Amino acid sequence: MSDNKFNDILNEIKVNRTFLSVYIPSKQTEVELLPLTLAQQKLIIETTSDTTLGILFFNNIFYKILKENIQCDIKDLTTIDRVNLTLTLRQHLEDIVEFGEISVSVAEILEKNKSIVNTIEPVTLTSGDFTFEIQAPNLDIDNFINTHLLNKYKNVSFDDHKLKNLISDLYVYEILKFIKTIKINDTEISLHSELVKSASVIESIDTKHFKSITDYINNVRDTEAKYTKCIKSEKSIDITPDLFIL
Amino acid sequence: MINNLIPVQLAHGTVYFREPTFYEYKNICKMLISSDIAGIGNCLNTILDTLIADKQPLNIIDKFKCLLSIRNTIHGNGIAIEINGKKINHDLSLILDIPFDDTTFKFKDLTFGSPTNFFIDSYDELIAQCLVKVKDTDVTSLSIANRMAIINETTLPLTLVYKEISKKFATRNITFYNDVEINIYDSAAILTFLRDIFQENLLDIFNFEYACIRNLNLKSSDFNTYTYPELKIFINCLNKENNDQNKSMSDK
Repeated sequence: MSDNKFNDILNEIKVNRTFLSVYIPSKQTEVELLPLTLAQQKLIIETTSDTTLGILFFNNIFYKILKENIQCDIKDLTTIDRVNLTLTLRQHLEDIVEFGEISVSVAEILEKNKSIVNTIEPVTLTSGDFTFEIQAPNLDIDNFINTHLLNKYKNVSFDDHKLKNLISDLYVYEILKFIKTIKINDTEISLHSELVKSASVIESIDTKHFKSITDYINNVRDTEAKYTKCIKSEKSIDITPDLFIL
Repeated sequence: MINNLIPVQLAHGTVYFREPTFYEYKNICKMLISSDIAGIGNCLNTILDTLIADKQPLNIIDKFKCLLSIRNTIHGNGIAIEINGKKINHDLSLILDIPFDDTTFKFKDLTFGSPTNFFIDSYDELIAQCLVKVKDTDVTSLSIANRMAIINETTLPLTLVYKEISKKFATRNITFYNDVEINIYDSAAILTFLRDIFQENLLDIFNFEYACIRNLNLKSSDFNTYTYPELKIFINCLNKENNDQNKSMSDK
């Protein structure tokens, strides 16, 4: 009897969950997304505890949640789209974000974001003998590389030396997220399969060849930041686990 | 089995408990030596699980009343206790007559009430323990694990629900004595209070047990039969007998 009651309630809760509609800048269309369950919120909040790798953990958890909740292929979504997805999930819990005495409506930001023209497109860049195919990372690649880094540094206590290693790795792997392939003379190497080898390839290339790539990366990150900007103030919403602590 | 069960009047009916034996009480005191709040919470739950026959779900108001009643059968109603640096002599049975605010409150489709445990170490478990209804369906008969599973599937804002529940409970102080208030939702405060009113110095207990063995010729198994108050009565009888004998000797 008790089991029936439990299953009935659980089913009713699951069935009554309604989809949220999210504007996806990279596709200029809307996708459907299930709101965060309480268990998922707990997972996000738990990522606040780690400071050094906190944002990687957060993105890692967030990827898993999006994969569960979204009604499209996650490979079709980029890190720019993640901003709107995060804000929509937050807005469903509570619309207002407080900055001291300033209150900001997330719904208004999401509405404003629909009018931002997304100019980020995949490009091919050439420097010396190298030809790079560059694009904003999709969430699958972003997660693949974040997970690799998290595994590499799990259980590591960060002294100065380890911290330098981490910073260097963050730089290399950040570049790696954006480079789909490298062509050297007539040889093309795909970088998004074997990460350790790919990182070695990146590390072996003179950094002067990455200048236009880092410009592209900065452009993508600046674009992501545009989607977090408030309307009536200069404030931006930080896409961190703290956003979900209401 | 014929047993002397003692009633405690709760908001939703009466529950019955049996008196702890001296052996059980000695073990309670051993378990309560720890100042670890979670450990005290576990000990108090063990007392209730062991002594209360009826396995209906109890919230912390019910548990508080039951524990107070159990404690009073061991030590009597009187208590000398220090609270917030104040030494107080008080009749604990008076607390049982205080009306506790146990009103339920709603957050969207869910209704919440008092939790089932004094000590809870996570947000979601507190919310699950407080969950009493989903829409119009009473869920108090469901296990905490099941209630947790239900809560976990909802899309309620975790931290807002937690804050709302905490805010409600923070106002529910009861006046213990004059201007001394206690809040049974304050885990650390209430568990320390319950430990203090239950616990007796272990050395005194061992001395008492020794006196019983030596003077009443009791075996260790007897302590699992008699209660602490019964043994005190026996010792008092013996003392009275000895005093009377001494008195008659001196009268001769």
